[in-house]
Amino acid sequence: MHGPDMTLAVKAGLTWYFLLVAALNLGAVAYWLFRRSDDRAAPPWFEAVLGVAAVLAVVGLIFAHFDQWCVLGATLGVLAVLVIAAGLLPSLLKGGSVAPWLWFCLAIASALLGASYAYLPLERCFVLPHGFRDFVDSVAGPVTFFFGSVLALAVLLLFREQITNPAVGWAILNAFLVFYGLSMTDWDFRQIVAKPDNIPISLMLLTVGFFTWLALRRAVENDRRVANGQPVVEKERGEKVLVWPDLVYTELLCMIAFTIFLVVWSIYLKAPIEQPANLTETPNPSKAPWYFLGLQEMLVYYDPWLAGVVFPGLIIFGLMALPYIDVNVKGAGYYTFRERPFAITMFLFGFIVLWVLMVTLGTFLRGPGWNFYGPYQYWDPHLVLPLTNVDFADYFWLHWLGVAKPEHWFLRELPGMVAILLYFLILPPLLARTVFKKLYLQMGFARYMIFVFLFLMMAALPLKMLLRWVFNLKYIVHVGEYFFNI
Amino acid sequence: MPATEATYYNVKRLHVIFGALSLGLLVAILWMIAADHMREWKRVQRDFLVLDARRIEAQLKAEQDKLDKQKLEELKRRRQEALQEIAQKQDEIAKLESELNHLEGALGLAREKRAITQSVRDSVASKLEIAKAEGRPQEEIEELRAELRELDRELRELRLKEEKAEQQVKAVEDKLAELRAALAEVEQEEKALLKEVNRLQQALESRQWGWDEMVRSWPILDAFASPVRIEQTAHDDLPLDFNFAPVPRFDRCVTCHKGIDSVQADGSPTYTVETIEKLGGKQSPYWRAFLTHPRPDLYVSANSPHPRETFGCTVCHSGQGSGTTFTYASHTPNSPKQRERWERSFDWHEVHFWEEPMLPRRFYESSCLKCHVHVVDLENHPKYGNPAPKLLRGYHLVRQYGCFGCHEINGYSEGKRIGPDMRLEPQTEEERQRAEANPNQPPGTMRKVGPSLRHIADKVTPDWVRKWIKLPRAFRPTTRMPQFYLLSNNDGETPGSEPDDLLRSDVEIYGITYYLFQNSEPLNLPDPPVPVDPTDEEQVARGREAFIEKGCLACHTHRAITSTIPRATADFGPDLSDLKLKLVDADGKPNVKWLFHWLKNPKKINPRGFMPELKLTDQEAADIAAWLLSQDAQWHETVSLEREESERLDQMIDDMIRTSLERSMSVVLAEKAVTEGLAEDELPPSGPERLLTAPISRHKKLMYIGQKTIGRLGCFGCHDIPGFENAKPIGTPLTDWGRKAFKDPEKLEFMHVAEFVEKQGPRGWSEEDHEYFLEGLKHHKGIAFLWQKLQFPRSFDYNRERLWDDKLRMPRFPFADNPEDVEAVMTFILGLVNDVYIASNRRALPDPVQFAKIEGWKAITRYNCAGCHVLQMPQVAFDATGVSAQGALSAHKEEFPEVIEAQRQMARDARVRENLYLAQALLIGDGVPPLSFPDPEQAEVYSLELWEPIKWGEDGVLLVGDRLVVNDPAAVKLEQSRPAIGGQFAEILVERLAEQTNQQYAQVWGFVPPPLVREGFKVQPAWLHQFLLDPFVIRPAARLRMPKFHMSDAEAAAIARYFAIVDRVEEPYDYVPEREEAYIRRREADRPGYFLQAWNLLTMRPRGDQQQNGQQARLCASCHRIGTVYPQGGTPEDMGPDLHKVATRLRSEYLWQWIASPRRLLPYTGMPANFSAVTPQFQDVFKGSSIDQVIAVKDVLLNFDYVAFDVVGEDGERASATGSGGE
Repeated sequence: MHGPDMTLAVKAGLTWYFLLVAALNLGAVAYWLFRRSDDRAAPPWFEAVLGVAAVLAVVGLIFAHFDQWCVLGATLGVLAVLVIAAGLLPSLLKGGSVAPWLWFCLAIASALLGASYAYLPLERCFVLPHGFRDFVDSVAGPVTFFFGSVLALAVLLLFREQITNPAVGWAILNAFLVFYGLSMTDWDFRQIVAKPDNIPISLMLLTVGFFTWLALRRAVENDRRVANGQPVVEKERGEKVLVWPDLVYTELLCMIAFTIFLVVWSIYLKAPIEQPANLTETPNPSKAPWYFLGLQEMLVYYDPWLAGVVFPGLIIFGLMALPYIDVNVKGAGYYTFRERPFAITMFLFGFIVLWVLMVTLGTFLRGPGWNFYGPYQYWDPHLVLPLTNVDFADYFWLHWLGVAKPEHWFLRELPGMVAILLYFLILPPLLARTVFKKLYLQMGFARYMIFVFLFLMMAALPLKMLLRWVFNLKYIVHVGEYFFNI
Repeated sequence: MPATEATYYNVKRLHVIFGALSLGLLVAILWMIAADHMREWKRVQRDFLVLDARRIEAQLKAEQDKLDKQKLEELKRRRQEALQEIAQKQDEIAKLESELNHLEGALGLAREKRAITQSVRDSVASKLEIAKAEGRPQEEIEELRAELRELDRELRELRLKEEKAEQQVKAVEDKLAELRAALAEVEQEEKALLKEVNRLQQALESRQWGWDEMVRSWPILDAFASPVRIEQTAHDDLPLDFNFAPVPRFDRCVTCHKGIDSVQADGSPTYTVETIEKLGGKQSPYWRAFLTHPRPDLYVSANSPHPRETFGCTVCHSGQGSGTTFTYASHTPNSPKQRERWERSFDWHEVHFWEEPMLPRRFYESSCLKCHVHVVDLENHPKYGNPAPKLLRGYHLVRQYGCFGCHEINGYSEGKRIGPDMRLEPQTEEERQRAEANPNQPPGTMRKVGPSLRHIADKVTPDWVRKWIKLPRAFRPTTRMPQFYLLSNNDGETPGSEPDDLLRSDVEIYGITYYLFQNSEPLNLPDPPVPVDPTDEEQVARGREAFIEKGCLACHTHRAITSTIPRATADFGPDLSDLKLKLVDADGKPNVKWLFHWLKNPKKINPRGFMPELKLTDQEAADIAAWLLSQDAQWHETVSLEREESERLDQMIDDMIRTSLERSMSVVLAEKAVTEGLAEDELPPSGPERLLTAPISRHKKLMYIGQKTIGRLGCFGCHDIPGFENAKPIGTPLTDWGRKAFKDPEKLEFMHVAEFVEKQGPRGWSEEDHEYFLEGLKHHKGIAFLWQKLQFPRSFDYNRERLWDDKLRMPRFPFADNPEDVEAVMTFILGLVNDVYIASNRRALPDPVQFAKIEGWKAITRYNCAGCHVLQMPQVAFDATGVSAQGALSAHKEEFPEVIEAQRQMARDARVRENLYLAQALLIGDGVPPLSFPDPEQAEVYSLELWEPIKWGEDGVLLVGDRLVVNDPAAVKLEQSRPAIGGQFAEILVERLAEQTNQQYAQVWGFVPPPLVREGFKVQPAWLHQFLLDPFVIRPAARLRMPKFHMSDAEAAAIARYFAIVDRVEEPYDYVPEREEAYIRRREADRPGYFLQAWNLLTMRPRGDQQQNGQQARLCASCHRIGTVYPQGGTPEDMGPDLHKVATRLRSEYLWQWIASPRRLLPYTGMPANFSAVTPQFQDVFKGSSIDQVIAVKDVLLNFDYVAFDVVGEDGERASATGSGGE
């Protein structure tokens, strides 16, 4: 059953959220105006403007904590944003480029949006249109999610030059923030995303996204330099600094800052405690800790011995083996993409698609019964989804040969076992002669065999997912007699 | 690149950042400490301390005002004088003090020296012992021994010195005290005078919030002796059930609810809304936390049956005892308004994961069930009244509507009692034997609540049965039979029901009826020996009289009677108004045969029914039957069914059989079953499908539908139906439902029910309640599910697509229309919690006596004894100022002092508080019904006839039979009074007899079922036991015979014990001292011929010389039969019980008081006081004081057989004394 989309708390929260987005964008404007070109500096009174805005914001935040003063608090917040905007205007009017104006308008727009949440009555506040939510829910699904992720990764890598343009990156960040903020006007979305234990997932999405973008940006820069015959950035800058104070001191500062963050976080969001554990009752959905939800997602497709033991083991083993398998000397100590596209693509696929995004899927989109629920969909425990999966043996004997399945398990599962064997025995030499020809020559037999085994194991997951979605395939080998299934 | 000293970052700037961050960290940590320091409960405690201090301050002020000012002045003066006196002797005192100082110094030294020597001596002694034990050389031992002796001597001298020094000190001290004696005396007196003031002052100081309290409550310092601290009680013996792991319960509720157990000297709560308001405590938003428990006599306080230290809070209220914030204590709002207020004031939100949230106020009583598993022990408690009326109402509704027929309410878990046990009694002999073989779990005792359908064909027609099943209320609006059809999931209209459902319903109804009549076992009843003719007006008129007077109205109502006697509203049995329509035989004629035999001997027709054998004569039974069948009858609503011979019906029969069979067998076989029937090898091994053999017929199909439907709907839960003797209850067991409601609401299917409720609207509930439960449904609360399940059990199918056989089956019970009933049943069900830990440690485990009482009360309820008998007279609370006592105190002088003394003893439990009296009394007055409460508006003056002694005034006592005249009707406190328990029919009969005979109510009370007040004190349990099983005539005068109930031996024994236990008299009553050989001999020795003279007194008849003496003619024999001696003349109305049987019937203690002063035990009795307390009579027959005569009559009655056979039989006097022949 749905709760209300808008509540007073959401109203107050979104006000400040969008004011913060506005402030971010004004920061971008300031950066553009004052930092990007050396000839321009902030006017001497700009720091005073910032100081006034900061005071307004802090006082506003304090007021925001009291029900009867929260509108005043929000007003102070809006004022703070307007003060910064006003402080930026003279410089803006001088310059001629489009981008700062764009960010400036965006900032004003989100400040207005924030103000609208502060001043409009509950029922007139903007909420996501139901048509939009229903549309998103209707197209959402594990298949769209997975293929969407793969597609997004492909786009990111193919159009890396465009995407790593700061303007584009900034636009993506803005889009993401607005999507998140407006989605908070949906009760179901809020239930999941705003749950105290799920906050780290949102943070993870932001940080992983940012660092991936940053690394790619540097890679693109270096690739361009290499193409022009210039040294890479890292080499040119000779980024060597003193351990003290440049490293240790800054680390200490980060440590303190982070401690402050953790303390404040723990004051605001209390540690969530659920009901006492019960041997006879499994909570629905029963979820692993957030960092294991990617593994749990694998359990949908593989039996526990594979998804819970073999695959995680191989991830650790594979990561340890990497330095010994990797014979490519390029790319050491600097960012690049063009010099090792396969390695980076494989890593990003394994880490982002198969790990980070699976964690996100498991946290946000898997509900009772481990069913997939759209981001705006109610987690109804009574939802039943059709699930009639067919084994490989069924396909082989019933569909293709048109005869009954043999009685004995060995005979019955023989086709499946053969298929598995073919996958691991035939594919490596085949690949060595075709797509991995170059790699094979570089690595030599032993390294190549280990590499290709790990590669095939990693590929096994998406392959099985594909088989499941396209053919409803449950098991390739299904020896129910001995609880052995692949 | 060569290393340089240049840094990448500007170090100065890093320093600035470092400084800023450090400050930030400091702020964050201070913030953390502040957040901890400002926790909610600390604020609450401080607020309470302020309030408590104010209260004490007020008390202190009152106490100070009360002080004797003069005395205080005088003491002040005397103190001055004493001080002056001391000042005068200052020199002497100073000298003595200095001397004392020196002496004390010397004493100190002496003590020290002695102590040192003592320790040296002990050490030497131990060395000596060790040396001996180790077998050291003799000289060494000797040396040590010598040393020891020397030390002992020294020690003795030192002690002498010390004692001398002590004496010197004491002497000087005495002198000093003498000089200061006056002052000491003054101080002593001051202390005594100011004792209370000082106490309060101290209490006030401990509560005042001063600077030291503030410092002590600072962070970190508060770890040592904080003035605010978390307070808790630990309860290892009432653990929380954390899923198979008992975890000790910690209740911290008192951390905030600090005033919860604070009571005043008279036991009333210290903190009520008014007192808090008066003290200005409402400024605190938490002021409600300071309230004292509203029933400190019953809960929390140390003297109550549930002291806080033993029980804590959450075992009853639930909630998270260890939580110290308003929210995390899991407070649960009772209404949307309250929730809103909490959200606003306390930032409250639901604690979703605590499995035992606090019960909302409306369901508090549920928790009583956890320990009071017998439930009825909470009913009519002599001291606490009815502490859980809602729960009991729920229990009785569940009992009467027979919820346990479908939903098992099993009071046992692993052989332990866990809650009320409401299991059905074993239905077959086999089951009974199995149940009895299990010593940990005795068989269930509940009977099916509906009538047996085993002989239905002898009683009613199929046509009537069909319409009845379809809509029971159409025939009998007050019926308890629930409604199965025309409900939201099969009415053909509501979303979720298809139009065809109406036809499906009819198919099922046809099937059920067909099955019942096919399986009906013929009774072969003979024709009534007396003609029953409903058209015979004379017989009908007689029947009406008999119907009223023979007790039918104790359990039943009838429209034709209620119209003239509006009070006849008993609902123990069904309303008999429309019987004419129901009892029709196969030929369409009135079914007189069945009704006649049912009235004569119901047990023959339904051995497990509750209808008793009324001991009617054939004529009476025939008359009543004729009257019942002559009364106009009607259907109250139109009920129509599909025609029996219709093609649609046949098609639907096939369709339904097919759909239902396809669930368990192949489509091919299902089709074959419908068209041809099945062969033996195609049939399942059991089940109704076995009826569908080839060749198929309409008969078989209907039988199949019938058996299947009865099984599906669980009709056998209430009715005895042939073929379903071994069927198991079909509903969810309710044994642990109360916990499930909170713990696993996700296991309940809510589906679209909230939409249904929104569409329905409040329907009899207040807007607020409706919103409360609707909100609950929207948030999937178990409580709200239960609410809706009881009201509209099928509404969970709203808007769902379900096959007919999958639809919800619970019928809608008539109580669903009454919000109070629904909440009562909810209260009961929510209390059903399978908490083995608490169960095994529970405190309310009744001892054997209490248990017997409970069992007895259950049987009394089961057989509706209260329908006829008053079990407790109304209790009237009144203010003494508006009432005057008649016959009190002074008038008692005319009576037996022994009786007065005995009654005074009975008054020991009388309750008097602040001039408010509570008396069990019969209300007598003009226009006032005999037992019900008077309406002060209506009656000007009425009087109360006391049925129990009460304390009156300072130390006076009013006795039974005394009369209180209420001059000021406002003196009666109706809200604290309690109506009579039981006796509705007796009232009706009294009213009627009074009208018929034109007599006062009190005069006709003797002819109706007697009140059972003091019954235990009156009769011997063994006799009552026997009488209940086989009642016989005691008082020929009574209008109504005690019927014979089909109760078990154990039930009769339980009732007999019950009365003895409530009256706190000895039971079993096996030993009668009057029958002891020694007693008899002593009597005879003290007074030769004692028993013979007593016998003569008893049986005295007017003889020649005494005939003129009218008084003597009125002694016992003139009214009572005494064995074979019959009273002459007189009508049955004048006859008393046979005195022959008194010996086994009455208790000795009762008997002598009764003979002496009958009205002091039974105010309305017709029995006169035969022996005058002041002037002894009958000296020629039995010489002695009146009390001696009374005792003599008692002795002879208790030894009746002995006297009649052994004494009188041998004595020649007998014939002359008794007048007529002997035994």
